[in-house]
Amino acid sequence: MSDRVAIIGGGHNGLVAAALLARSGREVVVLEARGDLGGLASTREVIPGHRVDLGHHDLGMFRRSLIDELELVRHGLELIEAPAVASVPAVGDSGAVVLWPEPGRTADGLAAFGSRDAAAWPRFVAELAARAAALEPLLCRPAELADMGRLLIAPELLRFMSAPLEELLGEWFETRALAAGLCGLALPATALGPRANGTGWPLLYHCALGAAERLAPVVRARGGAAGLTGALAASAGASGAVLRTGAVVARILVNERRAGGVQLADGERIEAGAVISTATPAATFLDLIGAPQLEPRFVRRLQAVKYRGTSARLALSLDDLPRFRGLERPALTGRIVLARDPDDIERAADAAKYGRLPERPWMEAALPTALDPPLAPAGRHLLLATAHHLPFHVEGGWASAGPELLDRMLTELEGWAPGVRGRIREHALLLPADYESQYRATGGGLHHGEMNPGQSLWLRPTARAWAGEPLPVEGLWLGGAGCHPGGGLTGLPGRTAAVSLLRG
Amino acid sequence: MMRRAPQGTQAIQRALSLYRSFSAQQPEHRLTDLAAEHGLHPSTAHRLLGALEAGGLVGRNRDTQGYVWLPEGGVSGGERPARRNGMRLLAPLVTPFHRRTEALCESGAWRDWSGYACALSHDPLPDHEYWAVRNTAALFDVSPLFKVEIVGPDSERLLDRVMTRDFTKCRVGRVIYTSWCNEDGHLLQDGNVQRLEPERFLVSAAEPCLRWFGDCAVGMDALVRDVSADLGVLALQGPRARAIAEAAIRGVDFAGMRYFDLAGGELGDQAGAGRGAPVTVTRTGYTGDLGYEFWVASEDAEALWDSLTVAGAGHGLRPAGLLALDMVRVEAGLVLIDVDYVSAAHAELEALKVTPAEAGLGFTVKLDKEADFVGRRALELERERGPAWAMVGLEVDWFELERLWSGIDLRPQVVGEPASREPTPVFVPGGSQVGQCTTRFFSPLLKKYIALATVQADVAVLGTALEFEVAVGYGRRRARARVAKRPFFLPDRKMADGSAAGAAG
Repeated sequence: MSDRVAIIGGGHNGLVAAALLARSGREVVVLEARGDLGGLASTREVIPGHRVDLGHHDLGMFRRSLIDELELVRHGLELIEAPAVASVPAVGDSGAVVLWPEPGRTADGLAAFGSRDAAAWPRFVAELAARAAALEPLLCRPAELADMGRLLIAPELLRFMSAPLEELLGEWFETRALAAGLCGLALPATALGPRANGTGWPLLYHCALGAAERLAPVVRARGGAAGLTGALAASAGASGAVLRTGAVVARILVNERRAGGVQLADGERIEAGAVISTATPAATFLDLIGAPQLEPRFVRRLQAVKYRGTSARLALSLDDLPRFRGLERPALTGRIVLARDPDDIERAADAAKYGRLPERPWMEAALPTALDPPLAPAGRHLLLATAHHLPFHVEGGWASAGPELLDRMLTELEGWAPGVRGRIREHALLLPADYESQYRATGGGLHHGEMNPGQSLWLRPTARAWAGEPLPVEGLWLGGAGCHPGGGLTGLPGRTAAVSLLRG
Repeated sequence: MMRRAPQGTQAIQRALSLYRSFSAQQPEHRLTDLAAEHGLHPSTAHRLLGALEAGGLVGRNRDTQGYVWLPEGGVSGGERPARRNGMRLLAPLVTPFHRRTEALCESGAWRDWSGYACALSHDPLPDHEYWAVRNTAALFDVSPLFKVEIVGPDSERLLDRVMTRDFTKCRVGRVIYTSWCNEDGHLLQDGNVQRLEPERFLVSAAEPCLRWFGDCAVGMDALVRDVSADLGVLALQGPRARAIAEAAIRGVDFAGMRYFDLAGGELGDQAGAGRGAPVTVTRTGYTGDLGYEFWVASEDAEALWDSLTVAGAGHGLRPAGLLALDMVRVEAGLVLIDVDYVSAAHAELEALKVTPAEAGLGFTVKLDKEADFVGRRALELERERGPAWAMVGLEVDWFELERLWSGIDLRPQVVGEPASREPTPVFVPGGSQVGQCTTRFFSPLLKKYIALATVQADVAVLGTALEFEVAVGYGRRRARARVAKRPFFLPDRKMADGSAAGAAG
């Protein structure tokens, strides 16, 4: 049997696993279908001269220990922390809300909305941090039964995981724009609106892995997401990992319920003693192995996973920074949540439920050039606006819905940042269907399986097991975001796969 | 079936006009709508519709509570009634032979079989029907079987994956009796599979299996479809079955048909207007005798019945019901799902689940086949370890029965009783319980009390003395039994080829 480890997918998790295994002396080959590495953390010139992040680009949740262990700084990673966490621009009579990593600074700003929310804010952040701290250890290793006991005796934590986010926030704050800003942090890439049960969970997840006491600050890599994946690739390559692009895996070779390598679409067979798949569980088992080789109850479990919660990213090249109402320049560095009220998000979720485009899409905007100007040519700025809560199967199909969505997004943007339409020089739009067809993200979901409590902790697969049962194929590890703890740039699923494989 | 007719002609007229509101275009109505439309008080309409329901002319949709039209004498499409706490929520469906069997059913005794009304017996007592199976021929309506068609390039592969038998070896024109298991090797069901074409199979089973086959078909190019309501099925069983079938069906070489062969033919002249209708014949049955089963489109069902009964007139053919079937199948040693074993699909306790070997179906498990069928791993382990339980036949002789009943000065109260499905404990002589007896009855043919029992594997040795509990008067006594060969009755004609079977008949 070959000693080689074949890793399917050159996204950040695949590269983390590759770098860790290569450093431990294993022979590693990474097989990336696309022409470049990075997967859902890719940076590409979809607008000439502009380095556009197409998926995740916030490193706030990335494990700091991996940066040291894999010597990513030496391999070119440079982190930039944004001064602001999130903001909601002013609208109508309501002023802008800016959330800073420093609770006192945020509270000072909230004073404009009345004393109650300003007084509540530091207490809220402290409580959130306490709950997140209790959760963090559960997220950083495969969840065990004892952890479940720990959760059950922490009723406040359990409630935060299971209750609707809008209700939870309503217990603390009166200002709707503030609640909207926090919902905007929690609810990208899910189909659940803030009034749905279980929407506290993604906020908790985000904070637990992203310095909760400072409310999950925005951290970016210089050069965009490619700054991270490039450093990971360099680290893996320096340790001897072979990184192949344009290598489309068609099949995981399974014999007697044991993985023995992979076969590429061009017919090439790559023998391997172990295979790590960073594709979604559905893609790994149903597409690359095939249901007929699996037990019916396992197939049923695979089919039950929800991949819903899709997004579209609009990249705009502007000839100046846009003027969001009420936001000063430092506030433009964080996430700009374009929702006046949690209800804006709820309405978008309602429309998506029935396969319709939201009338007024809510968006999460970022201005990468505000932190890292060279991402665009001189005199240009990049605005990335991501609309969430979109239906994957849209009424009438994306061919006609795509232009309609673009129009609605631009109309909304103009309302938030008057004059922005006149500054657009070029644009590019990535639709939900593109995420599935180009990145094999089942159902177009950016998290490889929606982040909801029913698909988290013990209920999300881990490298070798799922819901207490070992995976049905020997020699196969899962290492993508579809695994515990979940989506976003954490590096944890890839690390768990590598550690589990090395342990044997 | 009409139980109670309302008094007076006005009620009849009203009921008729209510019935005429239903049509193929508008098969369902709400009570309040009907009442308003006909100017009736809702309670009057309810009473009249109740009479139509009792007459099998309308039924109830359990989801909407509306009244639905049951085309006269026909099978309504598809849905079987759900039962909750033993309550029927929808009037029973009727099989496509119902008009014929109903006319012949003097006993008036019907039983629900998978939602269909089936005659327990046609005579007031099942005796003549029982003897017809062994001495002449009997005709059973077995249409309530669940029938699932599997079509497509991967149909063989799907069956080979689901079933414990080797379907790569199943030729077109053959039927295979097989088991299927869940992932843990626990028995889900047993049933027959016909290979009608290279890429078309028909599974018949006592319980629903559509969802399971569908789950197993994910990722395969095979269509799994329920055709239960599309087909009528008759079983013609007994020594004279061949002679009757030859007279009734054209285009089938009955003498050349081997046991578990399948052939296509058409109805003969006795079918009247139905002459020439296609029929699939299988040499199968649930009686342990010479016999055939006939599979026709529902609309040809009555023509099939007519041709077989006309052809059978000179041969002592009798329509037979479920009581006789239950007796002969015990003599044949054939197990019945949810009587002799509990399907893993609805076993309430892990301990109730059995493997095929434990249900007496070990012969259907082919571990030498190539495919990695569902449950294989667990069954391989079982083969190494040996099954924990075994299905055995038990028999008690007449003198033992006389001994038991002599205590209360009665002759043994077992003769003439239908098969009992009440489970009773089985013991080692004078000792502890080692299993349970699931079906038992006094075989008039064998003059013995016979039973099917599940016992610990270590006592499942031919000739072993055991005891099982019988009710003698109000008391419980232990009858001395011994482990006997299954089937209890195996006539040569059951499996013999044409000429020999003809001689035996």
